[in-house]
Amino acid sequence: MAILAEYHRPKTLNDALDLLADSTARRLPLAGGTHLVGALETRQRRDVDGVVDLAALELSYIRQVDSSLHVGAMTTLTELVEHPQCADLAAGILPATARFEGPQNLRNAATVGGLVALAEPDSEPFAALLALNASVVAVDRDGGESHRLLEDFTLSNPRSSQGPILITEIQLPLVHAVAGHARIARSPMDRCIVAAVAVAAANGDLSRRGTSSGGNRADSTRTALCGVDTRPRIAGGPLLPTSDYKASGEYRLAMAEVVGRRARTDASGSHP
Amino acid sequence: MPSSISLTVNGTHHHIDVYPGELLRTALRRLRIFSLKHGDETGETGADAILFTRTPDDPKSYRLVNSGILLAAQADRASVVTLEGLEGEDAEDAERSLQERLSPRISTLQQQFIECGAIQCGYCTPAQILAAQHLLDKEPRPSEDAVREAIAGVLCRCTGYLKPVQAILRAAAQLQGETPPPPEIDVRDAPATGEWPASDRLPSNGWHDGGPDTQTQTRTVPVTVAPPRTQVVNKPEPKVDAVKLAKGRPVFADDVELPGMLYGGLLTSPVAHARILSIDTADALALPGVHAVQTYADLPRVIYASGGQSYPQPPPYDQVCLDSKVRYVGDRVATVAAETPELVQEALERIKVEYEELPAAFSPEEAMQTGAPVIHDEDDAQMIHDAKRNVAVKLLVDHNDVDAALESAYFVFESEYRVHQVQQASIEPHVVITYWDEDDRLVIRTSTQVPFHVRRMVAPLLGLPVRRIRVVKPRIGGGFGGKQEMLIEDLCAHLTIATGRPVKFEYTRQMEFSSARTRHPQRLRFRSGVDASGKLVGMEVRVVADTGAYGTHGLTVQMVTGFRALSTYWLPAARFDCDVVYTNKPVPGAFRGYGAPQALFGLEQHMEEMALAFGMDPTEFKRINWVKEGDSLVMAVAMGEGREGFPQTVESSGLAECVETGAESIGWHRRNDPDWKSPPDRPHIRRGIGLAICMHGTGIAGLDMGAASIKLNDDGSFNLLVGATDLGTGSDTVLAQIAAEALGVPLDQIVIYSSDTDFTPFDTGAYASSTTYISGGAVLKAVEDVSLQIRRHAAAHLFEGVDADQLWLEDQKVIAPGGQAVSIEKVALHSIHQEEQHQIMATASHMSYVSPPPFAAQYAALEVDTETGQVTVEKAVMAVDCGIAINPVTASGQVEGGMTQALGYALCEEMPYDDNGRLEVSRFGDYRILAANEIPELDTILVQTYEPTGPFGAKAIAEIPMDGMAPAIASAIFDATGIRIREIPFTPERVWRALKSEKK
Repeated sequence: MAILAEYHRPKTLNDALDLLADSTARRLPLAGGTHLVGALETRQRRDVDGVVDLAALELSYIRQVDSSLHVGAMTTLTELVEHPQCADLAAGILPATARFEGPQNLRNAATVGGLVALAEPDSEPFAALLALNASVVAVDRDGGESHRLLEDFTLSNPRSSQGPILITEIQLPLVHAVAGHARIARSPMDRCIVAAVAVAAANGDLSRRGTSSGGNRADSTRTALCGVDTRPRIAGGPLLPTSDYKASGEYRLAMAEVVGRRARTDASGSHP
Repeated sequence: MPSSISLTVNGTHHHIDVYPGELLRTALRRLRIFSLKHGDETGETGADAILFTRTPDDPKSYRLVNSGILLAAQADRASVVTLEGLEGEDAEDAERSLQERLSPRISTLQQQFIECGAIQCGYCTPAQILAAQHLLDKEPRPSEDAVREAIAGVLCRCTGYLKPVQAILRAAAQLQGETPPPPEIDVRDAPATGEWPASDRLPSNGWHDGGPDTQTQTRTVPVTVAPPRTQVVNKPEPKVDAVKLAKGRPVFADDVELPGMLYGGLLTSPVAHARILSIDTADALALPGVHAVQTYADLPRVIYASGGQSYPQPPPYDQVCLDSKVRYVGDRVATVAAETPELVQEALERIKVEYEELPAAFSPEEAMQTGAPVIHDEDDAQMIHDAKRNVAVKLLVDHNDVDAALESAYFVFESEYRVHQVQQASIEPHVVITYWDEDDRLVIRTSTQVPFHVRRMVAPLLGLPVRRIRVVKPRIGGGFGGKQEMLIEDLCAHLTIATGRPVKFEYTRQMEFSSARTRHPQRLRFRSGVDASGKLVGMEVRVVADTGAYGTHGLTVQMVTGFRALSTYWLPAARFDCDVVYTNKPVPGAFRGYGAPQALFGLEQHMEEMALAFGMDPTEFKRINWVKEGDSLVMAVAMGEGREGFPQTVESSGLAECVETGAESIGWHRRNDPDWKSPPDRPHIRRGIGLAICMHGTGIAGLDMGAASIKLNDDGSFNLLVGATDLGTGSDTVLAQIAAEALGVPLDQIVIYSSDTDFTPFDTGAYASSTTYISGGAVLKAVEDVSLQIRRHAAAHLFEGVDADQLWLEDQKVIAPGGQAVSIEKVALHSIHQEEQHQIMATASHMSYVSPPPFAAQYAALEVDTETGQVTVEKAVMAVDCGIAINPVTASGQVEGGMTQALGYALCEEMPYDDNGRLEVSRFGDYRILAANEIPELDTILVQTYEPTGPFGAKAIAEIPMDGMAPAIASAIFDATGIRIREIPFTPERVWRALKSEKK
């Protein structure tokens, strides 16, 4: 049973950050609640006195700014994938992968900010955001706004020494791209054991890391992998997957190559 | 501190006080929105789904979300729609006439759910209907894929989703002005044995077979009406409980709030094996609002066995309510009763337990070794076979000299298989409410398959006589064997005794996995011999089974394993040798199939492997060896369930027809099509088709007993009271159909009630595929008695010059040969009020010394990804001989749901442990049961035979769908890849490793 002493729904970011910074109580930000409420209810999280609901911060929006889409952190996964520009981005890779995050009643509540904050190792839409070269906007208590690539962003401890930070927005480059996706799971809709998302931009601009060498379209493919690290990651460099009840590290390592290849092949056959 | 929120629920505004941690589901149920069900704490079941918006002015903004993972405080100023709000039954409606208001309002969608048989236990039904309605509001013409996606977040463990999907598609069509044709069920008669008896007249003595005429004597039940004259039996009647379930009414154990009710909770062991050195409950008791904390020191030590089985319980007796030793992670330590669930949790966390950890054993092999920790070293446990070696039960059964038979065999083959532990995973967790009634009798309202066993078993643990206990079984949200156990009733009752207050005690989902019951893992070794023609001359089966920390169903499940392994094919000589071994793991018990799925996974592969090694077509090899009509089941006498059994002969079998029709449906010929098997455009894919045959039982011969009472009402309707336990299977409907048919009345004239130990007669309960056959036999006997009383009264007072035995009941009338007729209502009024007044009623019991086997052919077509090992089943077919299907819709629903569970058993359900015996899955998702959008095509074919010992020719169907899927998939993987995998589940890595080792 959830044992909470406090519930707050601040109206401003500053108020939210103040509540989170207040050391007299142990508080966590509450976005859609699909993860946190369950964790509280099962007592998986016991170190919490209260929650700070972000619902009133007006962070639910999707808008185009220049050549990118700005997605508010409280935008639900459903709103994200149903938005016409998101739905069409890179041959529809966001809707294609979001299905595997959970069924619609979870996607209707789960938020993009929550997805990024959790960075679950088997999150395929997170991998899609990585492959799309998304970036994250976060603010701290002093009003400072940071802007980092998703692949460089972590939110391991919201009560770090620098004080709390909150994810406010995800930014997606609007590029003319194709995408591919491959996965292995125990059942067709189970969360993946290993998965890969590949996105290829016709002009190669997406490419930073996780690409093969060369300059043609195939070589500009950016591939993100799930199930091979503590969080989804861009392909390239040594992989050190761990073993769990779904599969061994050895299997995951071998399959990373397979799904990566298949996702790139899939991308090469898709249409922007 | 509570805060006030403003919430609109189904159009009505509420201001309610909520606590910071209170769930929206809890708050809504406080508002008596009972269509929301508790399935879990983490949102995977979706049983508590609602339509939710924070911008209610925009009707399109409602979204389906789970109210159990939303805090109530999050819903401040939001608007919610639940199933209750869709129908508006309670709203004033001037357009409805008085007559219309006397009937429940049923939406098109609800009507289709009812007509299609989309409702089994009904626990997830409200959420499914809500999800479906939301879809239809957005997409009036949805595709099947869209429908499956829409309900994918509402897990159903009963139906296999096929019928709910059909219902939604048909409702969509109907709402578009179309008239969809009636749902089709593929029902065929097996040519050789499918004939109903030619005569439709009642035999003069009322029974085909003679024998002593006692209430419980086995006798062939009468054929009162034969097709085409059946009016109710063998017809797709809607379930009698479907309306209340479709409307989400408060019918389940948890759906009551009693004044002064406390909440109960259980502290479980965090370690696998330990002695409790001390328990300090002072801090917990000091919490205001905590009314009781109980440990082993507070309760009497009474040894018992928890399996819900007939008296005397099969051994071993190795449990007490609370012990000073724990034997697995999840074992009972202490209980709490408090004012709120949150207080219960806080109190549980304040109990300080000092454990002396002991070495533990996590596999039977480990546990049987010399020097292994002794799991049951207590001196008061009874009838453990060899406690020092951790062997709970030893079974050794011989039929003729199997050693000599194998010695002289032309060809001998030996192989070994492993099956794993899985969970029943009913969507409704175990839940019980106990309270004292006004006569100081203890009432136990519980979600159980075995109310009468619970009453008998719990009495000595509480120190109460049976007469002071009443067990009420409301509707059950699925059981599958998991509720054939006296699991938490004793703990809840002790809390009521301690506090004097009503107490509700419900498992969390995590506790369902760790502290409820599971399926026995086994290692099975087969050794068989054949003569030169391929006929079996003998088979030996050696099984080592893991019964976890307690014995409970350990003896009987394994006995069934042996019986199924050694009865499906006819054997001149056979041996079953089995050790049932304690380990420090959560406890296996009854689970749909009850030892048969384990047996058949080994047996069917063994037969196939042996045929190939011998050089014979596997199907032909099976065909020449499977038991046929007239064959005796040679192990039946030696292998009763926990006692000596009775001779059995196969009276009906449609197996050959099942194999034939199933092959046609699956496209068996594709096994010879190279382009299908190795699609040229997908080089890493291999396809295959597999077959397994199955034989099950119908009740437990000489053991199961059911009883029924029926009485005639003034208007010619009947109250039928049965002790049988409908756990969602539709047995109430089937029993009512049997009664209606034999009384010549429509189904709606039968008002059935089950079950309450105070009011309904005894029944062993819902297990062993027994209800239609055993309880149905009791219903038929009681009805025949009532029929005779009606005819006698009519003959004596309402007809002239006609004997009772010349009259028959039909079309709600008593009819004489000359065509004269009086209504049953007239007989009722006359007999109750006018002349020779008496209540026409009867009670009868039925048991059987035979257990006629249903047969089936199970097929799977699949593809194997040879690079990754991933197996994807494309189609599953089950052609099943269940005798005459009393209700073809509910029968096919049993098959679809069973096949889906069996797919999970074969592919993705698993209970993994860490090195310390801690279960690594605690929620759905991690424990993967299949969702609506990942089910392969399912085809069910009912191949009817006429079973002469069954009511209207019926046999069982509930469990056999569980038996053959895993071996059929194993066979198909072999067909696809040439790789034999002898262990389930067929996870991608297991298949990949098998493929890799074959390459080497």
